[in-house]
Amino acid sequence: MGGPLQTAPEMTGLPRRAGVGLREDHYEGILDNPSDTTSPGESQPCVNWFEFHPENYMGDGGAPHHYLARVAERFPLSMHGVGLSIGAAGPLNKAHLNRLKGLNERYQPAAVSEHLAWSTHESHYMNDLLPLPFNQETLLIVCDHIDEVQAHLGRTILLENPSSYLAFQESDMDEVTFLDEVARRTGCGLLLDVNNVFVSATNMDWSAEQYIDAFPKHRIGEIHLAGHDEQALSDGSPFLIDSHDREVANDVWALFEQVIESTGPIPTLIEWDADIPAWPVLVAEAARADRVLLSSQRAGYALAG
Amino acid sequence: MHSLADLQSNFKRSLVDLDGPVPTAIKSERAGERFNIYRNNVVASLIDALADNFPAVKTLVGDAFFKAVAKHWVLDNQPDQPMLFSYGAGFADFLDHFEPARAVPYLADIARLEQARREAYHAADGAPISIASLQDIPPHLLGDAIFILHPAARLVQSGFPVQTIWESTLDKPSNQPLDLSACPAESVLVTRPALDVEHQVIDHVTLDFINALGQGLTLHQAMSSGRLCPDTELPSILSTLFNTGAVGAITLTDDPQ
Repeated sequence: MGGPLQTAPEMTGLPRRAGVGLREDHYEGILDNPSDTTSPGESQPCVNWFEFHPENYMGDGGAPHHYLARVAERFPLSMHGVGLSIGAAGPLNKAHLNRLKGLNERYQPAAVSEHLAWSTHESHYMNDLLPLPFNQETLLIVCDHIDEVQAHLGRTILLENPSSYLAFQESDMDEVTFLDEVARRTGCGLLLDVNNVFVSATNMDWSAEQYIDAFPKHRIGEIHLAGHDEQALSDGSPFLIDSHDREVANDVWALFEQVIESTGPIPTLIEWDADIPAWPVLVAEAARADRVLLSSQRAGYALAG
Repeated sequence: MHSLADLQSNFKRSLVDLDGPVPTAIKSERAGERFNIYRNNVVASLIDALADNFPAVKTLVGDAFFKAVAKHWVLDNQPDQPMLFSYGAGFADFLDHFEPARAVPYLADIARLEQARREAYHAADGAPISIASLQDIPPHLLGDAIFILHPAARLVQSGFPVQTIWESTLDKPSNQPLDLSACPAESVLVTRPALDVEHQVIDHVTLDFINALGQGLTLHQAMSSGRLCPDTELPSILSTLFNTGAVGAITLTDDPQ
């Protein structure tokens, strides 16, 4: 503690509270029983907003739009793209950019975000967030693409730090410097995925705490928390997979608290994309994040008072 | 040093060439093990996407066989748009010619039915019109009316009892091998009158008639193009068309003949 909070300016319209990913299996429950967004023992809802992946809502009509529209009437939305391939050397997919623009206009999400990664090569979509070398060439390409996206959508976006399994010879900048430079040049905000920091730090043998210390916290518009799978390389060194299929690890909760201690509350998402649990399990994870955010809010008020 | 374009080109090529070299741009120790995480993610996630899109095909051939078939497909056919719900449009044609699947000759048609179901699920919204709207049309203009099919309407023509086979996959515990010799071939009309996809078996006359309507022919032309007997068959065909929500609109030609 100590020192003024590095509270970010309002980079998104999301409440500075916990949210969860929107899942087909949960539509009915969310809409029929809004009180389900409250965890047992808590007096107020801990699921305050929903994230959706625009790629799942790029059909012309039907149930996906029907339910998303109804959720949007009740909750703020964060539109979190996984398919734009911002780090591709080739041009952005214009049809995809237009579809994103259409969804942005139709649902007016409180935040729009994408990844510092590439996923498409010559129109082949690989369905994975692939790693980039951090250097001047990549910096120029990523900045050009973010400029194009922001101009096309008419709004700023948030860029998410990657989870990495390897590094390139071609890298001559560290990831935090790279992200800070992209944000400085394009005006975009950053989405800090705390689990990604922990996964990358373990896999590449650098310090997650130092990464968090160095991270430009005034640029954080949203935080992601997720679970990971613990494996090992053949030499026995620990190796983590960013699997999003379980509870957030305690080490990641500790890093999250470290961030919130210096930033104050920031909209925080529980990401759970595989082996999706029953709704109460997800709500309990959101409640845990929400408690950290609420207590930081109270501490902030106490400080101000 | 590689340019970003070269680096990504090499990286992508090796992702889907399982015997391909580990990209030399990787600096980390145990580069092969690390690269394989991405390779596995790409291949496994695309196989999973295909399994999500073709659940009945997967049920019919079992997990292991499906994974093997899907792996062949995904290594040569990555999605051309980053929308996984549209992935697999050519999978049925691939199954037609996939030698190890010959023992399940109806597999490709089941894939076609699942493709049609998924397209219908995501198709544009629109309220189907009811058969009562025919009463608004002056009888002498009815023959020149053009029925515009609902955006979700799809036809699946098959030489196998695809509807019966598809239904059997929903009831996995029974797992009784179907006696196909006892089932006639079935063609299927897929519709989505509201949010839920529905489909039902139609006969060949109805299939030909709806196909003709889909080509933009007038009611009269569609009737004369097929083997349809207007007095005995038309009422039941129209009732099928409207009751399933297959008609989105009716337009009248300006220039009745």
